[in-house]
Amino acid sequence: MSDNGTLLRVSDLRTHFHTEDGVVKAVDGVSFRIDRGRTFALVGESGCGKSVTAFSIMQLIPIPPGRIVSGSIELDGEELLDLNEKQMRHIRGSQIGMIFQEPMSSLNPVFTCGSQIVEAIRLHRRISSRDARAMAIDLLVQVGIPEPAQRFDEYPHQLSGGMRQRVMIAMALSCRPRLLIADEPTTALDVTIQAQILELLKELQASTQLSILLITHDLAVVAGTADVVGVMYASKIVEQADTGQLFAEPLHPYTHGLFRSIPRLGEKKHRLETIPGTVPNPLNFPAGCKFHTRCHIGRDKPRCRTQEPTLREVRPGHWCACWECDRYETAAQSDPSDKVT
Amino acid sequence: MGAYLLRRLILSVFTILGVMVLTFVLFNLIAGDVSSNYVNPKLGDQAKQDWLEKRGLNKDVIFNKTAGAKFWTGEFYDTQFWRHMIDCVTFQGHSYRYPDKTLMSIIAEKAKYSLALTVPMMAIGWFAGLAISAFVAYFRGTIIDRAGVFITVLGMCVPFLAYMILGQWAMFQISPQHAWGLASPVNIYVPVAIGVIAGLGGSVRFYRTVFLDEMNRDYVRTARAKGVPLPGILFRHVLRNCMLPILTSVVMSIPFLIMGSLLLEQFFGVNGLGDLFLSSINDRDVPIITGLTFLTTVIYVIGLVITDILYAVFDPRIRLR
Repeated sequence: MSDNGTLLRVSDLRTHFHTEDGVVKAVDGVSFRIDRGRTFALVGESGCGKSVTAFSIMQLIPIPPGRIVSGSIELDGEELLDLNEKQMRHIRGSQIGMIFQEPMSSLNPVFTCGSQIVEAIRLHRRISSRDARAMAIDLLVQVGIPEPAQRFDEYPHQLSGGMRQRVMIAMALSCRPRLLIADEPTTALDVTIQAQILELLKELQASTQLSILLITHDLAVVAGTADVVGVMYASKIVEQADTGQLFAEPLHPYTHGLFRSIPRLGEKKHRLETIPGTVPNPLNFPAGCKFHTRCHIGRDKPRCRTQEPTLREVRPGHWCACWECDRYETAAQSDPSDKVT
Repeated sequence: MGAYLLRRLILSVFTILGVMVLTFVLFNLIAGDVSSNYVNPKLGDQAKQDWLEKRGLNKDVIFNKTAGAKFWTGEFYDTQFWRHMIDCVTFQGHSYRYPDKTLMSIIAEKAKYSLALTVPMMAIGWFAGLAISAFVAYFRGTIIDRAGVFITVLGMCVPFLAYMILGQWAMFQISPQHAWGLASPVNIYVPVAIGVIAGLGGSVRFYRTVFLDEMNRDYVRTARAKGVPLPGILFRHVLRNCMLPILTSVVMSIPFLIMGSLLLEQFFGVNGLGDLFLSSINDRDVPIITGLTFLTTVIYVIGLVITDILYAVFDPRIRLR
């Protein structure tokens, strides 16, 4: 895959929710870009703001209580945040497609799968329903659904979870969008189906120069599909690098902790390591580095407790928001069990 | 589907028979000496016996064994119970109060007044309830929604009787000749309007909950991500999914459609079936009460079967087997 320039550029995005208890800064200064035909993965625990980032790009944040406070989202140079609802509606589905975590409930139960795909096509293209039907069946073939003409007239409950996710993908790609946002696309599926769906996404990407924003908490999914990874923690991206680089040399203590909490083949361990503590309450983030309360390096360091680190390029193309990541690296190397291969 | 319908219909017949038997038993137990309402006790026992004789109330209760009739002869079934059962089904029983009229003719004569009241009341009520609740749900979380909820809760808290009394009082102030009775056909709009307004609070709150419940579903998010405009989401995606609870509430009120509104008819002098039902109870006019009970049961049971069929029509996940 060649680099054909940037498709999506998100800069300093801030999405806040105004609740009765206070302002929840769900996304607070997130920046990244996605190149054409490439996959960018956002990884993080539940509640770290990855889905809110995705919904902010689609402008599907419930308003109120949510609000995109500042930032910029440029799709192919066009500022999406300046568009009104009507213009944005033409972007959704036609320029940006989206698939969701729950294929079981994401399709409308009372309409046939085919009619839902046809609806997506005819919203953005002026074609007859007969042509749209032919197109939809063609899409079902592309996403690998057997007997597509018959499946077209079936209802979502008649299909398995994997099939429904394929229908969702067919629907999301029906108008040939340039960007696909996949919000935990395989979380609700079992492992073999998960592999098939990811394989399908890769094939479609190769044949259509599609860019993908992949939202997941599963590092195994990231390793197999993403070109670039952003690790999110407490509403911010704390580390960003090419997938290979990040897996080989994670710099942020949080990323390190994530890798150490994954079981590995051939490794004799009785208990998996965990990151101590819990994700801080977004209503009441700690001062300084938001991770310092759980970090075995920065817990007692005055700078970590008072000043918040910003993303800086520690290595070429490898960004990390940590005061101590250079020193951490040496500490990690002294402990062979930390070594990530 | 065919087998399901057949089974449902057979069960329905038994349900209706059960209701018929039950009404007979109840009236035999609690109605007491009905003749005392119609025959002055001072006229003596003979007059009472004549009255009972004429209405078949001195026959045996269930089986006529005294005449030596055998169970294969018609005579054997010439009893109060079988007479009740036959009168129910044929509507050919005679009212105690109007001995020369059959039940059928009385219902035919009065039903139109009830329907004139209830059909517009329900149609406007449903339409207004759905439209207002869709509107309020569309603006969920905003000041419009909150004001809507406040007004509907307020509307629900006021008793039905208060609407009628206030409505009638207001009508007497504005134009007294339209406040009561059916001397002028336009008078029917007064109880219709009051019925609609009184019912609106409850229905808006119910439909709003149903709408909001559906609008938070995942498929709505998918539809928005496809670029479906909001009216399309509300009236294509959401409404279709809301049909089940809406249908149920609609069918539940069909018997009310025929039977009329007991209180509204009494209050506004609408001479319909509701009014007839109430006065029959007061006068212990048993054939009319049992006949109307039978009619309500049949309509209700048929309505439930139709709801089941419509469920399957609107929700493909439901199969009638």
